[in-house]
Amino acid sequence: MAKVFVLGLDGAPSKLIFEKWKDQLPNIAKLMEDGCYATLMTSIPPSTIAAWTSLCSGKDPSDFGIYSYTKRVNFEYKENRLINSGDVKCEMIWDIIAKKDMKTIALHVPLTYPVKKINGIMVSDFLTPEFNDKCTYPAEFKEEIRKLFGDRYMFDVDVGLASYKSIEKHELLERIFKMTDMNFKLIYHLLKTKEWDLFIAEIIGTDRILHTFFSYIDETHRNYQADNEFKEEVLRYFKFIDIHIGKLAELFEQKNQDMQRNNENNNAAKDNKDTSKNNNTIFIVASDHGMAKMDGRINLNDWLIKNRYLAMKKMPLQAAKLNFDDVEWKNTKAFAVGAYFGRIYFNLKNREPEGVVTKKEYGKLQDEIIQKLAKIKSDDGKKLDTQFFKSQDIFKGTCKDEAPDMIIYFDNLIWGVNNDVGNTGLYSYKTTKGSDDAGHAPEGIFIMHGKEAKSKGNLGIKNIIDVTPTILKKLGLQIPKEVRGKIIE
Amino acid sequence: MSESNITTISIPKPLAEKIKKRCEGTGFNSVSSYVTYVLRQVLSNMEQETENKEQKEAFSEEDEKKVKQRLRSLGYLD
Repeated sequence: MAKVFVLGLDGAPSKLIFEKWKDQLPNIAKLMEDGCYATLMTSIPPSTIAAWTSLCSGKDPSDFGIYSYTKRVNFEYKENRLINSGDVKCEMIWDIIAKKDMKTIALHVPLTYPVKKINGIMVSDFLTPEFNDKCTYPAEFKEEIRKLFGDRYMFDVDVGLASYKSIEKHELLERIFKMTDMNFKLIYHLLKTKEWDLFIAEIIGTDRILHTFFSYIDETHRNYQADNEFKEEVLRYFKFIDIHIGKLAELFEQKNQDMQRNNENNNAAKDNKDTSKNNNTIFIVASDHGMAKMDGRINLNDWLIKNRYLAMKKMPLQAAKLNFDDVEWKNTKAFAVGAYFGRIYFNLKNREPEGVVTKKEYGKLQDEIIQKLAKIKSDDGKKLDTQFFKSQDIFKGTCKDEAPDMIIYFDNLIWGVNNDVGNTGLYSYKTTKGSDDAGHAPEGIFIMHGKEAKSKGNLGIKNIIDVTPTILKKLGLQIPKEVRGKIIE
Repeated sequence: MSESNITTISIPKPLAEKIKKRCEGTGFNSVSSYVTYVLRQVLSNMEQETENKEQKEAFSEEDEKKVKQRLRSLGYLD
Protein backbone atom coordinates (compact mmCIF):
# COMPACT_ATOMS: atom_id res chain seq x y z
CA MET A 1 0.00 0.00 0.00
CA ALA A 2 1.21 3.46 -0.84
CA LYS A 3 0.25 7.07 -0.59
CA VAL A 4 -0.11 8.83 -3.92
CA PHE A 5 0.83 12.37 -4.85
CA VAL A 6 -0.33 13.59 -8.27
CA LEU A 7 1.06 16.79 -9.74
CA GLY A 8 -1.08 17.83 -12.68
CA LEU A 9 0.66 19.98 -15.25
CA ASP A 10 -2.32 21.24 -17.21
CA GLY A 11 -1.80 20.96 -20.94
CA ALA A 12 1.80 19.67 -20.73
CA PRO A 13 2.42 17.98 -24.10
CA SER A 14 4.37 14.74 -24.42
CA LYS A 15 6.31 16.08 -27.40
CA LEU A 16 7.84 18.93 -25.43
CA ILE A 17 8.32 17.19 -22.09
CA PHE A 18 9.42 13.74 -23.28
CA GLU A 19 11.35 14.82 -26.36
CA LYS A 20 12.26 18.42 -27.04
CA TRP A 21 13.01 19.58 -23.49
CA LYS A 22 13.84 16.31 -21.74
CA ASP A 23 17.56 17.08 -21.43
CA GLN A 24 16.83 20.45 -19.92
CA LEU A 25 14.37 19.22 -17.32
CA PRO A 26 16.65 16.97 -15.24
CA ASN A 27 14.24 16.21 -12.42
CA ILE A 28 11.45 15.15 -14.74
CA ALA A 29 13.98 13.12 -16.74
CA LYS A 30 15.10 11.37 -13.55
CA LEU A 31 11.54 10.41 -12.62
CA MET A 32 11.13 9.01 -16.14
CA GLU A 33 14.39 7.07 -15.98
CA ASP A 34 13.86 5.62 -12.51
CA GLY A 35 10.15 5.06 -12.93
CA CYS A 36 7.84 4.68 -15.90
CA TYR A 37 6.17 7.05 -18.32
CA ALA A 38 3.63 7.08 -21.10
CA THR A 39 1.92 9.38 -23.54
CA LEU A 40 -1.45 9.94 -21.92
CA MET A 41 -4.26 10.21 -24.45
CA THR A 42 -6.83 12.72 -23.34
CA SER A 43 -10.61 12.37 -23.29
CA ILE A 44 -12.86 12.88 -26.27
CA PRO A 45 -13.51 15.78 -26.35
CA PRO A 46 -10.16 17.20 -25.17
CA SER A 47 -11.69 19.87 -22.98
CA THR A 48 -9.81 20.62 -19.75
CA ILE A 49 -12.81 20.06 -17.51
CA ALA A 50 -13.89 16.84 -19.24
CA ALA A 51 -10.32 15.54 -19.22
CA TRP A 52 -9.71 16.28 -15.53
CA THR A 53 -13.02 14.74 -14.57
CA SER A 54 -11.98 11.64 -16.57
CA LEU A 55 -8.58 11.56 -14.90
CA CYS A 56 -10.09 11.80 -11.43
CA SER A 57 -12.92 9.33 -11.99
CA GLY A 58 -11.69 6.72 -14.47
CA LYS A 59 -14.77 7.40 -16.58
CA ASP A 60 -15.46 9.05 -19.90
CA PRO A 61 -17.48 12.20 -20.63
CA SER A 62 -20.62 10.20 -21.43
CA ASP A 63 -20.49 8.74 -17.91
CA PHE A 64 -20.54 12.13 -16.21
CA GLY A 65 -22.14 14.33 -18.86
CA ILE A 66 -19.46 16.97 -19.43
CA TYR A 67 -18.64 17.73 -23.07
CA SER A 68 -17.63 21.37 -22.80
CA TYR A 69 -17.99 24.41 -20.58
CA THR A 70 -21.59 24.80 -21.59
CA LYS A 71 -24.54 22.52 -21.73
CA ARG A 72 -27.69 22.65 -23.81
CA VAL A 73 -30.86 23.26 -21.86
CA ASN A 74 -33.29 20.43 -22.66
CA PHE A 75 -32.27 20.64 -26.33
CA GLU A 76 -34.23 23.86 -26.64
CA TYR A 77 -33.17 26.65 -28.97
CA LYS A 78 -31.70 28.66 -26.13
CA GLU A 79 -28.29 29.89 -25.13
CA ASN A 80 -26.29 27.12 -23.52
CA ARG A 81 -26.02 27.06 -19.76
CA LEU A 82 -22.63 27.27 -18.10
CA ILE A 83 -21.74 24.15 -16.17
CA ASN A 84 -20.21 23.88 -12.71
CA SER A 85 -19.17 21.17 -10.25
CA GLY A 86 -22.81 20.33 -9.54
CA ASP A 87 -23.13 18.99 -13.08
CA VAL A 88 -20.60 16.19 -12.57
CA LYS A 89 -22.73 13.06 -12.49
CA CYS A 90 -20.31 10.45 -11.20
CA GLU A 91 -18.27 9.32 -8.25
CA MET A 92 -14.83 10.92 -8.14
CA ILE A 93 -11.72 9.24 -6.80
CA TRP A 94 -11.93 11.19 -3.53
CA ASP A 95 -15.49 9.88 -3.03
CA ILE A 96 -14.31 6.31 -3.66
CA ILE A 97 -11.39 6.42 -1.22
CA ALA A 98 -13.40 8.26 1.44
CA LYS A 99 -15.48 5.09 1.84
CA LYS A 100 -12.34 3.44 3.19
CA ASP A 101 -11.70 6.40 5.45
CA MET A 102 -8.87 7.65 3.30
CA LYS A 103 -8.17 11.33 3.03
CA THR A 104 -7.69 13.46 -0.07
CA ILE A 105 -6.21 16.87 -0.60
CA ALA A 106 -7.39 18.17 -3.96
CA LEU A 107 -6.05 21.50 -5.16
CA HIS A 108 -7.45 23.30 -8.20
CA VAL A 109 -8.80 20.24 -9.96
CA PRO A 110 -10.83 21.75 -12.83
CA LEU A 111 -14.58 21.76 -12.35
CA THR A 112 -14.58 21.63 -8.57
CA TYR A 113 -16.22 25.03 -7.98
CA PRO A 114 -18.37 25.29 -5.92
CA VAL A 115 -16.48 22.78 -3.77
CA LYS A 116 -18.33 19.77 -2.44
CA LYS A 117 -17.80 18.05 0.88
CA ILE A 118 -14.87 15.65 0.83
CA ASN A 119 -12.94 13.64 3.39
CA GLY A 120 -9.99 16.00 3.45
CA ILE A 121 -9.34 19.38 1.91
CA MET A 122 -10.39 20.83 -1.42
CA VAL A 123 -9.49 24.15 -3.01
CA SER A 124 -11.39 24.96 -6.19
CA ASP A 125 -10.05 25.66 -9.66
CA PHE A 126 -9.53 28.34 -12.30
CA LEU A 127 -13.30 28.60 -12.67
CA THR A 128 -13.49 30.17 -9.21
CA PRO A 129 -15.10 33.58 -9.69
CA GLU A 130 -13.66 35.06 -6.50
CA PHE A 131 -12.08 34.18 -3.19
CA ASN A 132 -15.25 33.21 -1.33
CA ASP A 133 -16.69 30.55 0.98
CA LYS A 134 -17.38 28.22 -1.92
CA CYS A 135 -13.77 27.82 -2.96
CA THR A 136 -12.49 25.73 -0.07
CA TYR A 137 -13.68 22.70 1.81
CA PRO A 138 -13.85 22.96 4.72
CA ALA A 139 -14.91 26.62 4.40
CA GLU A 140 -12.58 27.51 7.29
CA PHE A 141 -9.58 26.45 5.23
CA LYS A 142 -10.02 29.72 3.37
CA GLU A 143 -8.65 31.46 6.46
CA GLU A 144 -5.52 29.37 6.28
CA ILE A 145 -4.99 30.47 2.69
CA ARG A 146 -5.67 34.04 3.74
CA LYS A 147 -2.99 33.79 6.42
CA LEU A 148 -0.49 32.67 3.80
CA PHE A 149 -1.38 34.97 0.93
CA GLY A 150 -3.87 37.54 2.17
CA ASP A 151 -6.76 37.88 -0.25
CA ARG A 152 -4.46 37.66 -3.22
CA TYR A 153 -4.43 33.94 -3.82
CA MET A 154 -4.61 33.51 -7.59
CA PHE A 155 -6.94 30.96 -9.14
CA ASP A 156 -6.02 32.10 -12.63
CA VAL A 157 -3.92 34.71 -14.40
CA ASP A 158 -6.74 37.11 -15.11
CA VAL A 159 -7.09 38.49 -11.62
CA GLY A 160 -9.78 41.12 -11.59
CA LEU A 161 -11.22 39.48 -14.68
CA ALA A 162 -9.24 41.57 -17.10
CA SER A 163 -9.46 40.15 -20.55
CA TYR A 164 -6.91 37.40 -20.90
CA LYS A 165 -6.08 38.35 -24.45
CA SER A 166 -5.47 41.95 -23.64
CA ILE A 167 -2.97 41.36 -20.82
CA GLU A 168 0.41 42.61 -21.92
CA LYS A 169 2.80 39.68 -22.46
CA HIS A 170 5.42 40.64 -19.85
CA GLU A 171 2.68 41.21 -17.31
CA LEU A 172 1.05 37.91 -18.24
CA LEU A 173 4.31 36.05 -17.82
CA GLU A 174 4.86 37.61 -14.43
CA ARG A 175 1.37 36.63 -13.32
CA ILE A 176 1.86 33.03 -14.47
CA PHE A 177 5.08 32.73 -12.44
CA LYS A 178 3.50 34.41 -9.44
CA MET A 179 0.42 32.21 -9.52
CA THR A 180 2.49 29.03 -9.86
CA ASP A 181 4.72 30.11 -7.02
CA MET A 182 1.62 30.51 -4.84
CA ASN A 183 0.39 27.07 -5.92
CA PHE A 184 3.64 25.42 -4.82
CA LYS A 185 3.76 27.37 -1.56
CA LEU A 186 0.30 26.06 -0.76
CA ILE A 187 1.37 22.51 -1.69
CA TYR A 188 4.41 22.63 0.63
CA HIS A 189 2.32 24.12 3.42
CA LEU A 190 -0.21 21.30 3.15
CA LEU A 191 2.49 18.63 2.91
CA LYS A 192 3.96 19.95 6.11
CA THR A 193 0.79 20.39 8.10
CA LYS A 194 -1.91 17.97 6.93
CA GLU A 195 -2.51 14.26 6.65
CA TRP A 196 -3.50 12.68 3.36
CA ASP A 197 -3.56 9.42 1.48
CA LEU A 198 -4.08 11.01 -1.91
CA PHE A 199 -2.86 14.48 -2.85
CA ILE A 200 -3.82 15.89 -6.24
CA ALA A 201 -2.56 19.34 -7.17
CA GLU A 202 -3.24 20.88 -10.54
CA ILE A 203 -1.07 23.63 -11.97
CA ILE A 204 -2.96 25.76 -14.50
CA GLY A 205 0.03 27.97 -15.33
CA THR A 206 1.48 25.34 -17.68
CA ASP A 207 -1.68 25.51 -19.80
CA ARG A 208 -1.85 29.29 -19.74
CA ILE A 209 1.75 29.83 -20.79
CA LEU A 210 1.48 27.35 -23.66
CA HIS A 211 -1.79 28.81 -24.94
CA THR A 212 -0.42 32.32 -25.00
CA PHE A 213 3.24 31.91 -25.90
CA PHE A 214 3.21 28.96 -28.29
CA SER A 215 3.93 31.07 -31.35
CA TYR A 216 7.12 32.28 -29.66
CA ILE A 217 8.51 28.78 -29.17
CA ASP A 218 7.23 26.65 -32.02
CA GLU A 219 9.36 27.15 -35.14
CA THR A 220 6.57 25.79 -37.33
CA HIS A 221 3.98 28.28 -36.02
CA ARG A 222 2.79 30.78 -38.61
CA ASN A 223 3.62 33.73 -36.41
CA TYR A 224 6.99 32.44 -35.23
CA GLN A 225 9.85 34.87 -35.42
CA ALA A 226 13.32 33.53 -34.79
CA ASP A 227 14.61 36.47 -32.78
CA ASN A 228 11.63 37.03 -30.50
CA GLU A 229 12.20 38.04 -26.89
CA PHE A 230 10.00 35.31 -25.37
CA LYS A 231 11.70 32.41 -27.13
CA GLU A 232 13.24 30.99 -23.96
CA GLU A 233 10.54 32.07 -21.50
CA VAL A 234 8.31 29.01 -21.72
CA LEU A 235 11.27 26.70 -21.16
CA ARG A 236 12.41 28.93 -18.30
CA TYR A 237 8.98 28.44 -16.75
CA PHE A 238 9.11 24.66 -17.22
CA LYS A 239 12.59 24.63 -15.63
CA PHE A 240 11.05 26.43 -12.67
CA ILE A 241 8.38 23.69 -12.51
CA ASP A 242 11.14 21.07 -12.86
CA ILE A 243 12.97 22.47 -9.83
CA HIS A 244 9.80 22.10 -7.77
CA ILE A 245 9.37 18.55 -9.06
CA GLY A 246 12.92 17.81 -7.89
CA LYS A 247 12.12 19.29 -4.51
CA LEU A 248 8.96 17.24 -4.15
CA ALA A 249 10.70 14.04 -5.28
CA GLU A 250 13.41 14.62 -2.69
CA LEU A 251 10.82 15.20 0.01
CA PHE A 252 9.03 11.94 -0.80
CA GLU A 253 12.30 10.04 -1.09
CA GLN A 254 13.43 11.35 2.29
CA LYS A 255 10.15 10.37 3.87
CA ASN A 256 10.30 6.89 2.35
CA GLN A 257 13.85 6.40 3.61
CA ASP A 258 13.03 7.63 7.13
CA MET A 259 10.14 5.27 7.26
CA GLN A 260 12.17 2.33 6.04
CA ARG A 261 14.80 3.04 8.69
CA ASN A 262 12.11 3.21 11.36
CA ASN A 263 10.63 -0.05 10.21
CA GLU A 264 13.99 -1.77 10.23
CA ASN A 265 15.03 -0.41 13.60
CA ASN A 266 12.03 -1.06 15.73
CA ASN A 267 9.49 -2.80 13.59
CA ALA A 268 7.46 0.37 13.88
CA ALA A 269 4.83 -0.68 11.41
CA LYS A 270 3.48 -3.24 13.84
CA ASP A 271 3.39 -0.90 16.81
CA ASN A 272 2.23 2.20 15.06
CA LYS A 273 -1.54 2.28 14.99
CA ASP A 274 -1.61 4.85 12.23
CA THR A 275 -0.35 2.73 9.39
CA SER A 276 -1.18 5.43 6.87
CA LYS A 277 1.94 7.25 8.01
CA ASN A 278 4.00 4.24 7.09
CA ASN A 279 3.32 4.13 3.41
CA ASN A 280 5.71 4.87 0.63
CA THR A 281 4.74 7.78 -1.55
CA ILE A 282 4.21 7.27 -5.24
CA PHE A 283 4.80 10.41 -7.25
CA ILE A 284 2.73 10.84 -10.42
CA VAL A 285 3.17 13.74 -12.82
CA ALA A 286 0.37 13.91 -15.36
CA SER A 287 -1.31 16.26 -17.78
CA ASP A 288 -4.91 16.35 -18.91
CA HIS A 289 -4.12 17.01 -22.57
CA GLY A 290 -1.30 18.17 -24.79
CA MET A 291 -0.89 21.37 -26.72
CA ALA A 292 -0.31 22.08 -30.39
CA LYS A 293 -0.02 25.16 -32.54
CA MET A 294 -3.19 26.53 -34.00
CA ASP A 295 -3.08 27.50 -37.65
CA GLY A 296 -6.49 29.14 -37.60
CA ARG A 297 -10.14 28.27 -37.31
CA ILE A 298 -12.68 26.78 -39.66
CA ASN A 299 -15.93 28.75 -39.85
CA LEU A 300 -18.06 25.69 -39.23
CA ASN A 301 -21.51 27.26 -39.01
CA ASP A 302 -20.87 29.27 -42.16
CA TRP A 303 -19.90 26.00 -43.84
CA LEU A 304 -23.13 24.37 -42.63
CA ILE A 305 -25.10 27.32 -44.03
CA LYS A 306 -23.31 27.12 -47.37
CA ASN A 307 -23.95 23.39 -47.60
CA ARG A 308 -27.64 23.83 -46.73
CA TYR A 309 -27.60 22.05 -43.38
CA LEU A 310 -28.28 25.26 -41.47
CA ALA A 311 -30.94 27.69 -42.70
CA MET A 312 -31.05 31.30 -41.54
CA LYS A 313 -34.03 33.65 -41.52
CA LYS A 314 -31.57 36.51 -41.45
CA MET A 315 -27.82 36.91 -41.34
CA PRO A 316 -26.03 39.35 -39.05
CA LEU A 317 -24.54 42.46 -40.65
CA GLN A 318 -21.11 41.45 -39.47
CA ALA A 319 -19.72 38.18 -38.09
CA ALA A 320 -21.50 37.33 -34.85
CA LYS A 321 -22.42 34.47 -32.59
CA LEU A 322 -25.16 32.25 -34.00
CA ASN A 323 -28.45 33.62 -32.73
CA PHE A 324 -30.97 30.79 -32.43
CA ASP A 325 -33.83 33.22 -33.06
CA ASP A 326 -32.42 33.88 -36.52
CA VAL A 327 -32.45 30.21 -37.51
CA GLU A 328 -35.15 28.79 -39.74
CA TRP A 329 -35.48 25.56 -37.83
CA LYS A 330 -37.91 23.76 -40.10
CA ASN A 331 -35.23 23.76 -42.80
CA THR A 332 -32.25 23.15 -40.51
CA LYS A 333 -30.61 19.79 -40.06
CA ALA A 334 -27.53 20.72 -38.06
CA PHE A 335 -25.69 23.52 -36.27
CA ALA A 336 -22.29 23.75 -34.61
CA VAL A 337 -20.66 25.01 -31.46
CA GLY A 338 -17.02 24.85 -30.50
CA ALA A 339 -13.78 26.74 -30.09
CA TYR A 340 -10.86 24.30 -30.29
CA PHE A 341 -12.88 21.34 -31.49
CA GLY A 342 -16.23 21.28 -33.28
CA ARG A 343 -19.44 19.89 -31.86
CA ILE A 344 -22.28 19.38 -34.29
CA TYR A 345 -25.83 18.93 -33.05
CA PHE A 346 -28.55 17.69 -35.31
CA ASN A 347 -32.00 19.21 -35.27
CA LEU A 348 -33.47 15.87 -34.28
CA LYS A 349 -37.15 14.97 -34.45
CA ASN A 350 -38.68 14.34 -31.01
CA ARG A 351 -35.64 15.90 -29.33
CA GLU A 352 -35.42 19.48 -30.56
CA PRO A 353 -38.66 21.52 -30.50
CA GLU A 354 -38.85 21.72 -34.30
CA GLY A 355 -36.62 18.75 -35.09
CA VAL A 356 -36.54 17.50 -38.67
CA VAL A 357 -33.85 14.78 -38.77
CA THR A 358 -35.32 11.33 -38.15
CA LYS A 359 -33.56 8.52 -36.31
CA LYS A 360 -33.45 6.65 -39.62
CA GLU A 361 -31.58 9.48 -41.31
CA TYR A 362 -29.19 9.99 -38.39
CA GLY A 363 -26.26 7.80 -39.43
CA LYS A 364 -26.60 8.73 -43.08
CA LEU A 365 -26.46 12.43 -42.26
CA GLN A 366 -23.35 11.91 -40.14
CA ASP A 367 -21.63 10.08 -43.00
CA GLU A 368 -22.65 12.70 -45.52
CA ILE A 369 -21.30 15.58 -43.41
CA ILE A 370 -18.09 13.67 -42.65
CA GLN A 371 -17.53 12.96 -46.31
CA LYS A 372 -17.87 16.64 -47.18
CA LEU A 373 -15.93 18.05 -44.23
CA ALA A 374 -13.08 15.62 -44.91
CA LYS A 375 -12.51 17.43 -48.19
CA ILE A 376 -11.71 20.73 -46.47
CA LYS A 377 -8.09 21.63 -47.01
CA SER A 378 -5.96 24.19 -45.22
CA ASP A 379 -5.99 27.75 -46.51
CA ASP A 380 -2.80 26.99 -48.45
CA GLY A 381 -4.25 23.89 -50.05
CA LYS A 382 -2.75 21.18 -47.86
CA LYS A 383 -4.69 18.07 -46.90
CA LEU A 384 -5.94 18.14 -43.30
CA ASP A 385 -5.79 15.14 -40.98
CA THR A 386 -9.33 15.74 -39.72
CA GLN A 387 -10.78 13.34 -37.17
CA PHE A 388 -14.47 12.64 -36.79
CA PHE A 389 -16.22 11.02 -33.86
CA LYS A 390 -19.79 9.83 -34.12
CA SER A 391 -21.69 10.01 -30.85
CA GLN A 392 -22.99 6.44 -30.97
CA ASP A 393 -19.50 5.03 -31.63
CA ILE A 394 -17.69 6.58 -28.68
CA PHE A 395 -20.22 7.40 -26.01
CA LYS A 396 -21.70 4.51 -24.05
CA GLY A 397 -22.27 6.02 -20.60
CA THR A 398 -25.50 6.99 -18.85
CA CYS A 399 -25.22 10.60 -20.07
CA LYS A 400 -24.69 9.66 -23.74
CA ASP A 401 -27.97 11.21 -24.85
CA GLU A 402 -26.68 14.67 -23.92
CA ALA A 403 -23.63 14.29 -26.16
CA PRO A 404 -23.18 16.24 -29.37
CA ASP A 405 -24.09 14.14 -32.41
CA MET A 406 -20.63 14.56 -33.90
CA ILE A 407 -17.26 15.81 -32.68
CA ILE A 408 -14.69 17.11 -35.15
CA TYR A 409 -10.96 17.75 -34.75
CA PHE A 410 -9.85 19.72 -37.80
CA ASP A 411 -6.36 18.57 -38.71
CA ASN A 412 -6.28 16.68 -35.42
CA LEU A 413 -6.85 19.99 -33.56
CA ILE A 414 -4.26 22.08 -35.40
CA TRP A 415 -7.23 23.95 -36.84
CA GLY A 416 -9.81 25.18 -34.35
CA VAL A 417 -13.43 26.11 -34.87
CA ASN A 418 -15.16 29.44 -35.17
CA ASN A 419 -18.90 29.06 -34.70
CA ASP A 420 -19.78 32.69 -35.46
CA VAL A 421 -21.83 33.23 -38.57
CA GLY A 422 -21.35 35.81 -41.32
CA ASN A 423 -17.56 35.54 -41.67
CA THR A 424 -15.86 36.09 -44.97
CA GLY A 425 -14.67 32.80 -46.40
CA LEU A 426 -14.00 29.48 -44.68
CA TYR A 427 -11.08 30.45 -42.45
CA SER A 428 -10.68 32.77 -39.47
CA TYR A 429 -7.42 33.83 -37.88
CA LYS A 430 -7.81 36.56 -35.34
CA THR A 431 -11.08 35.92 -33.59
CA THR A 432 -12.71 37.18 -30.45
CA LYS A 433 -12.14 33.78 -28.88
CA GLY A 434 -8.99 34.44 -26.93
CA SER A 435 -5.51 33.37 -27.82
CA ASP A 436 -4.97 31.88 -31.23
CA ASP A 437 -1.48 30.62 -30.46
CA ALA A 438 -2.24 27.03 -29.53
CA GLY A 439 -5.05 24.59 -29.01
CA HIS A 440 -5.35 21.31 -27.17
CA ALA A 441 -3.59 18.26 -28.58
CA PRO A 442 -4.63 14.73 -27.59
CA GLU A 443 -1.21 13.69 -26.26
CA GLY A 444 -0.57 14.49 -22.62
CA ILE A 445 1.96 12.99 -20.20
CA PHE A 446 2.00 10.38 -17.45
CA ILE A 447 5.05 9.70 -15.27
CA MET A 448 5.00 7.42 -12.23
CA HIS A 449 7.83 7.11 -9.76
CA GLY A 450 8.20 5.31 -6.47
CA LYS A 451 9.09 2.02 -4.91
CA GLU A 452 5.66 0.59 -5.56
CA ALA A 453 5.51 1.58 -9.20
CA LYS A 454 6.45 -1.73 -10.77
CA SER A 455 6.60 -0.76 -14.43
CA LYS A 456 9.80 0.75 -15.75
CA GLY A 457 10.64 2.82 -18.80
CA ASN A 458 8.49 3.89 -21.70
CA LEU A 459 5.04 2.29 -21.57
CA GLY A 460 3.94 3.72 -24.91
CA ILE A 461 0.40 5.01 -24.93
CA LYS A 462 -2.01 4.99 -22.01
CA ASN A 463 -5.41 6.59 -21.59
CA ILE A 464 -6.45 9.32 -19.19
CA ILE A 465 -9.09 6.99 -17.70
CA ASP A 466 -6.27 4.66 -16.57
CA VAL A 467 -5.06 7.09 -13.91
CA THR A 468 -7.84 6.56 -11.36
CA PRO A 469 -7.68 2.72 -11.30
CA THR A 470 -3.89 2.98 -11.09
CA ILE A 471 -4.10 5.23 -8.04
CA LEU A 472 -6.75 3.03 -6.41
CA LYS A 473 -4.56 -0.04 -6.89
CA LYS A 474 -1.56 1.72 -5.36
CA LEU A 475 -3.72 2.75 -2.40
CA GLY A 476 -4.58 -0.91 -1.94
CA LEU A 477 -8.23 -0.53 -2.89
CA GLN A 478 -10.63 -2.47 -5.09
CA ILE A 479 -11.53 -0.90 -8.42
CA PRO A 480 -15.30 -0.21 -8.61
CA LYS A 481 -16.87 -1.81 -11.67
CA GLU A 482 -17.99 1.57 -13.07
CA VAL A 483 -14.37 2.63 -13.49
CA ARG A 484 -13.48 2.05 -17.13
CA GLY A 485 -9.70 2.47 -17.18
CA LYS A 486 -6.96 -0.14 -16.86
CA ILE A 487 -4.39 -0.30 -14.08
CA ILE A 488 -0.85 0.83 -14.88
CA GLU A 489 1.24 -1.41 -12.64
CA MET B 1 -21.43 7.68 30.86
CA SER B 2 -18.28 5.81 31.82
CA GLU B 3 -15.38 7.66 33.29
CA SER B 4 -13.17 7.04 30.23
CA ASN B 5 -15.61 8.98 28.03
CA ILE B 6 -15.33 12.14 30.07
CA THR B 7 -12.62 14.75 29.88
CA THR B 8 -11.94 17.92 31.88
CA ILE B 9 -12.07 21.30 30.23
CA SER B 10 -10.96 24.47 32.01
CA ILE B 11 -13.13 27.57 32.04
CA PRO B 12 -12.61 30.80 33.97
CA LYS B 13 -14.01 30.65 37.50
CA PRO B 14 -16.25 33.75 37.18
CA LEU B 15 -17.82 32.11 34.14
CA ALA B 16 -18.37 28.88 36.07
CA GLU B 17 -20.05 30.92 38.82
CA LYS B 18 -22.28 32.63 36.31
CA ILE B 19 -23.25 29.28 34.84
CA LYS B 20 -23.92 27.88 38.27
CA LYS B 21 -26.36 30.71 38.97
CA ARG B 22 -28.01 30.18 35.65
CA CYS B 23 -28.34 26.44 36.35
CA GLU B 24 -30.43 27.03 39.40
CA GLY B 25 -33.97 26.07 38.80
CA THR B 26 -33.32 24.73 35.30
CA GLY B 27 -33.26 21.06 36.20
CA PHE B 28 -29.58 20.66 35.45
CA ASN B 29 -27.89 19.13 38.44
CA SER B 30 -24.38 20.36 37.65
CA VAL B 31 -22.46 23.00 35.76
CA SER B 32 -20.93 20.20 33.64
CA SER B 33 -24.22 18.82 32.45
CA TYR B 34 -25.51 22.32 31.69
CA VAL B 35 -22.35 23.21 29.73
CA THR B 36 -22.51 19.90 27.87
CA TYR B 37 -26.11 20.63 26.90
CA VAL B 38 -25.34 24.16 25.73
CA LEU B 39 -22.29 23.12 23.72
CA ARG B 40 -24.22 20.33 22.01
CA GLN B 41 -26.89 22.85 21.04
CA VAL B 42 -24.33 25.30 19.71
CA LEU B 43 -22.46 22.66 17.72
CA SER B 44 -25.64 21.21 16.30
CA ASN B 45 -26.76 24.69 15.20
CA MET B 46 -23.40 25.27 13.58
CA GLU B 47 -23.60 21.98 11.73
CA GLN B 48 -27.10 22.82 10.58
CA GLU B 49 -25.87 26.19 9.36
CA THR B 50 -23.07 24.53 7.41
CA GLU B 51 -25.56 22.18 5.82
CA ASN B 52 -27.86 25.04 4.90
CA LYS B 53 -24.94 26.88 3.43
CA GLU B 54 -23.93 23.85 1.42
CA GLN B 55 -27.42 23.68 -0.05
CA LYS B 56 -27.22 27.33 -0.97
CA GLU B 57 -23.88 26.70 -2.55
CA ALA B 58 -25.44 26.05 -5.90
CA PHE B 59 -23.73 28.09 -8.53
CA SER B 60 -25.22 31.57 -8.20
CA GLU B 61 -26.16 33.82 -11.12
CA GLU B 62 -23.40 36.19 -10.10
CA ASP B 63 -20.90 33.30 -10.20
CA GLU B 64 -22.12 32.34 -13.65
CA LYS B 65 -21.71 35.90 -14.93
CA LYS B 66 -18.15 36.16 -13.64
CA VAL B 67 -17.05 32.74 -14.84
CA LYS B 68 -18.58 33.35 -18.29
CA GLN B 69 -16.57 36.53 -18.61
CA ARG B 70 -13.38 34.67 -17.68
CA LEU B 71 -14.05 31.79 -20.08
CA ARG B 72 -14.75 34.19 -22.88
CA SER B 73 -11.44 35.92 -22.28
CA LEU B 74 -9.71 32.54 -22.26
CA GLY B 75 -11.20 31.68 -25.62
CA TYR B 76 -12.97 28.68 -24.19
CA LEU B 77 -16.53 29.78 -24.55
CA ASP B 78 -18.42 28.65 -27.61
